[in-house]
Parts: sequence; structure tokens; C-alpha cells
Amino acid sequence: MEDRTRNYLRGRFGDYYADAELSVPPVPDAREWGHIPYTESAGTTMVRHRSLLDMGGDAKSIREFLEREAPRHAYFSAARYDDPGARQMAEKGWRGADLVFDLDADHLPGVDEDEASYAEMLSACKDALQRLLDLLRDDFGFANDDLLIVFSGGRGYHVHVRNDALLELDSEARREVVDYLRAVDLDRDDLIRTVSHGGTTRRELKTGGGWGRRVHRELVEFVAELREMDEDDATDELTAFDGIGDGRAGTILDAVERNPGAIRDGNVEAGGPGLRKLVEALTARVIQNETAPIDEPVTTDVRRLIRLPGTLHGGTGFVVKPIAPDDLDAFDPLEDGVADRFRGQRIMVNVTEPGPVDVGAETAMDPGPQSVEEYVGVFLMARGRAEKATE
Amino acid sequence: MQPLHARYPFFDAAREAVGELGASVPELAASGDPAVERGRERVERALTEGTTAPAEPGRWSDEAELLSYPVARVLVSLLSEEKAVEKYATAEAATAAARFAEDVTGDDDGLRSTTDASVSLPRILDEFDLADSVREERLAGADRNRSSGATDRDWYRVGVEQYLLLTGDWGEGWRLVNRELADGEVRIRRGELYGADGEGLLVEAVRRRVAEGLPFDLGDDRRTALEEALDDPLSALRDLLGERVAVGGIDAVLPSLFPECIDELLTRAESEELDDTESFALLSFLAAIGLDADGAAAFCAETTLGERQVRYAVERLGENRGAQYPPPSCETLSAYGICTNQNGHRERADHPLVLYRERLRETEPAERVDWREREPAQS
Repeated sequence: MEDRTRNYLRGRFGDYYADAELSVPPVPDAREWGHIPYTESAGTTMVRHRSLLDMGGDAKSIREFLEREAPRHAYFSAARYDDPGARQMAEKGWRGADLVFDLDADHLPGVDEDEASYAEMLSACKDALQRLLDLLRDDFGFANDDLLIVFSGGRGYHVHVRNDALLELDSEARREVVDYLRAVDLDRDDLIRTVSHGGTTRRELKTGGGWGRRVHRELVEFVAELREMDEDDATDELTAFDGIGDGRAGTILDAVERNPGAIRDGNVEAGGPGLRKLVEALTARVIQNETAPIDEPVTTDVRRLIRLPGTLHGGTGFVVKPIAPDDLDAFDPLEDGVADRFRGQRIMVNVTEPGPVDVGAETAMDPGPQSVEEYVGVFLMARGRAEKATE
Repeated sequence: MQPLHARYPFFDAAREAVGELGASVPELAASGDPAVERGRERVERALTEGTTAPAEPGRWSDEAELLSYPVARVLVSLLSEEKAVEKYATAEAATAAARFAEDVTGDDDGLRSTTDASVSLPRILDEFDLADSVREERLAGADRNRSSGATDRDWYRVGVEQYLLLTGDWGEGWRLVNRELADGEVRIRRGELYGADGEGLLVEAVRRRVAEGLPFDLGDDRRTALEEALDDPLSALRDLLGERVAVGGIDAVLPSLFPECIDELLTRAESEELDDTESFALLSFLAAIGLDADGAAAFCAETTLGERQVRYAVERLGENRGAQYPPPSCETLSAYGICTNQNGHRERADHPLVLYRERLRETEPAERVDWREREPAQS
């Protein structure tokens, strides 16, 4: 990055912070603060172990600090400390940490980084975010008020869970949460338990919650669809699964027809071995469709720094943008992540790395000097695809 | 105090009752209070049998039972061994779990206490601030299941945060991923609250409560005073630990006090080669009494032991002083012909370190001239 480009970005980042809306976390004076400045050297050096006092003393001064320093990236700790400014972790006195989740396009199964466009990756990430939120609300019982949903400004989303009861969870306990969300080490055979009823035993899905309940919901829905079909179609549907032939399909359809209430209760005895094969197949489907591929270390590392919502991401120029739950469906990161400060004027840039671009009106950039919308120019320069040109 | 306090001495109210009785541990020891003997038994049975219940239940008064708990905590702290603290806390928790099960299981489903000494489940939950996060499950099918006489009829729901805080590494069945989690609550069976096998949320809550603050952070003066006051029970427990004797705290090199078997090894090393077992016995003893690599090398300068061998061994042994490679007991040493009960020293103690510690204690501080502080030889 040329000096002119760096100076331009730094100046404009400072302008942004003049009236930026930051989402300062609760108990800011117990947080560690950090940032990566715009430096002349190519390397990135994180300045960390800052206390709020080092930043100026109160929540308001954070914005002033950012306006003054105009860093490339800005972070705070999910953890709370007795002495957040101490240089050594052991001396900080850990008091607890928010529960934080990170979904990053780098870690999404089924997304090929080389093939997918930026927009496609972000879209896949948003689907994963919806699955994560469903698990956090439905299974973990978090209310919308507990959740801060944030576009990372880069390739994904963060979710901060702020609930005092969770603060003390250690790394191991957080790994249990991660494994739940990803269904890691799920004992699939254990989703069905044997229950005694008046002297006889029968097998039932664990419908009371967890992955058992999710598989049960899938089963009930699947069975409802079967009942809508004529017999031949239903048989075809069933025999498409491994281990289910015409005979077993017949037993399942018979059970579904004669005793629909049994499956609603989680009883998987009635449909015979075929039904249990079906449950196995649906379990695989549920795990594929409902798990959230979060980046484990971000959640289990209880001393990690995370981007401060409301700041700018130095690799894109996008805002690290908090999203109200009701606005999530309509949220388009490439549109809604743009800082208003960078809209409404055009600037001259020299494009050094032409090609497709997902930001702004253009779909592809030509090489060489040209005038572009400022936010497109900021994006290209932040990504290292353009340098600032003279106006 | 109430009988309940004797049964559950780790309850907050029991701690208050101890305070009201106003007896300090040194005072109890000085007056030969039965609480001291019972305290020793608590720790002994914790280490050997995994329980802290008395071997003869009728033998102790409620007061002795209650006061034996702080005595036991002091004793276990003086043992200075992490493993002993762990074992002790686990044993207190297992004992409590069995009592919880006894108290709570009854015709009234544990909703009321049946005697003064027993507790109800709500009372236990309250004690550990769990009243708001553990609730009995009420399902549409519950009544039907109940009348069927099925034993798995009792389900509870626990807040997921508490569940995560109070479960240990107890196998796949306890992993959150394998649990029924809904609306922030995990389903558990009643038996999983106070499992007989040490696995249970309330067992863990007790274990943590007991382990909290252990071992006590005692200053040197206080430690010495308590060690003197509790000399008898402490020696008994240290002997019991045998191979895993606690050696933390010894930092004195007085060769004149060395146990006979170690002294003989040292003498032999000055004129002949020791085999591996013999040199390990000697070097692990030297590391355990506080010699570092430099000190041990100097100490062994006149022996056949090579300096590199000494340094390497002492550094490795010293890293986990006493925990990883404690010196062998006299019994073990006798199997190798190293200890022949010279001078009948095993009558005093069956472990070189225990004996050495006792001899140190018997020596006036003014006479304890550490080898490391010796005057340089006049030449």
C-alpha cells in the first residue's frame, strides 16, 4: 500500500469516527482494548493490553480515541478483568467473559473459497448464522435481548451472548457449547432410549429437547408429507433410503396409517427396523442442515479480542455492523455494511488488480486510473486492489 | 447447633454454628477434644475408603462430628499434597451424596424433611443457590408413568449454565451434545442430581464447596504451630500416605539428622558405585529436602556419582518436588536391601522423609545448621 493510499484511508477512517455510532460493551472499564494502527511498514502490529483509562477514561472517549488515532482495526476483549491493562495474562485477573461465536466463510463446509464470490460466501454465512440463532434461541433459550448480532465487516458474522449466568464458564464448558452447536461427538444411537410402559418396554426418540427433538421434528414432518402422497410415491420416497426395501417401506406406511399418534409421541417401535433406519437417515440430514459451523477457538478462547461493533474493518472499509434481529432477513452486508460517510461522492483510484467486484454498481473493474463511488474505492484500496490516484 | 449441621458440616449454617461454638483447632487439640480424633478419621477414611462417614456411627456426638470438619480441613491442608485435597473433597462429596439420597428419597418425594437431621431437596438446592435453576419437570405423561411404577419417572430440568458449571468429565452420557436441551434447560433424572457414583450436579456442588480454599494458605508460623498442635494425627496420616508421603515444606539439609538407611547410602557412595535404585533413593531424598542441582552437585562432590548424573536427576525430580517422584519408603528400600532398619529407625517412621521431618522438628531452631550455610572450609 502506497503512502498516499494509507494516508487517505486513515484520514477518511478518522472522519468516519467523528460521528460513528459505536456499540460499547457493558462494563467497558473491565475490558482489554486493542487496535492495529495504519503503519508505514507492511506488517500488522496489534497494540493491546490497553485499559479504558489508556483510551481516555470513559465510554465516550473510545470514540474520541478512534477519531484521533483512526486505526485500521479496533478490538475489545470478550473477557472482563480486574486489571485489563496488565501486560501478562496471569496478572490481569480474569473475571469472566461474554460467550462469543464467530461464523467465517473460511470455515464453512461446502463453500469453495476459490470458486465462490464474496457475495456468495457472505450469503452462505448468513444461512449458517440463521441456524446458529435458531439453536441459541430454541435450545439454549437465549432471548433476543441477550444476543448482539454483528456483521464482522469481513467474511462473516459474530454473535455476542451477554448473559451474566454465562460469564464464568471456562474454556471446557464453552467447548461443550461448541460441540452441541456443531453436533460434534453426538451419539446417534443414544437419540433413542428404551422406556418402560406398564411392564413392557419400547424405544422412543428423546423428544424432550436437544438433537433428539430436532430429529423427531424432522420425522414428524417427513411422515406428514408421506401421508399426503399416494402409496407408490410414498414407497419410492422411502426405498430411496439405504436399508429400506419394499417390505420395510410397507411396514412403515402401515404404522403411519394405523397409528399416526405413536410417531408424534416419539415411539419408533411401531414402524419396525425400517423406521429406525429412516430415523438414522433423517439424523444425518438434520445434522447437515441444522448445525452451525462456528469457528471453535473464538468461542473457547476466553481471553480473545473481538472487533468492536460500530468500527471499520480495515480489510474492506465496511462497518462492523450490529444488526437488529428483525432486520436480519433483509440485511445485505454489501449494501448495509457500507459507511454512510463514504457514500455520495466519487474519488479517483488506480486499479491494480482488476476483475469482478461485488461492491457498488460495477460488476467488474478495469485496470488503471478511474473515478468510482468512494465506498467502492475504499473497498478496493483496503483489499489492496487499488491505490489512491490524484483527483 | 442442630443435628443437621453435624450431618452436613459444609452448609453455610454449619459454618456459622462452628463459629458460635468458638473453639479453635489448636484449642481442640490441646484439650484432647474428640473432634480431633474424628477429624483424623475423616481424612483417613477419605484417603483409604473414599468416604468421610464414621466407622462407628454412634460413637461421636453431634458437636464432635461438626467440629471434626474444620479439624479435617486443617489436617488435609497440612498434608500439603494436592492429591490428598482432591481425594478428601471427593470423599466428602460422595458421603454427602449418599446422605442426600437417603434424606430425599421417601414417600413424600423429598419435599419435606422427616427428621431434624435430614434435608429436603428444596433445602439442598437453596443451599447451593440452585433453587431458581433446578425444577421438577411436569409433563402431560408424568402421572401415567407414575402409576405404572416405572423407576425413571422423576425428571428435572436444570438451567444450561448451571449444568455446564456442575458437570465433570463423566463420559459421553453427560456431554451436552447428547442431552435433551430445550429453552435453556437440560433434562436430567433425579438420580443424576446426587449420583451414588460421584457423578451428579449436587455432588459436584458439594465437592467444590469443600475444595474451596483448600489447602489453607498458612504462613510459616501458623503452619508450624498447627503442625505441633496436631502432631499425632498428622504423623498418623503421613504414615498412611506411605509411598505418596507429603514432602512439601521441607527445605533443610542437616546430614546429621539423615535417616540411617540414607546415611549409609551416602557413606557407601563415597567409596563404591551405587546401582540405579540406590542412586535414585539417595538423589530423590536430596531433591525432596530442598537441594537444587547446584547444591546436590556440591553435596555429592565427594561421591562416585557423576556431576551430570546428579544435576540431571535432581532437576527432574525437583520440578515436581514430592509429587511425581517421591523418595521410596523404607519398606520399598528394604526390598532392595537398602534399608535394613538400621538402629530400629523404622519404629519411629516407615519413611525416610517422615523420619527426617520428625528429627528436624525435634531439633532446636538454633541448632539447625543447614549444610548449605556451612562456613567455607579453611584452607
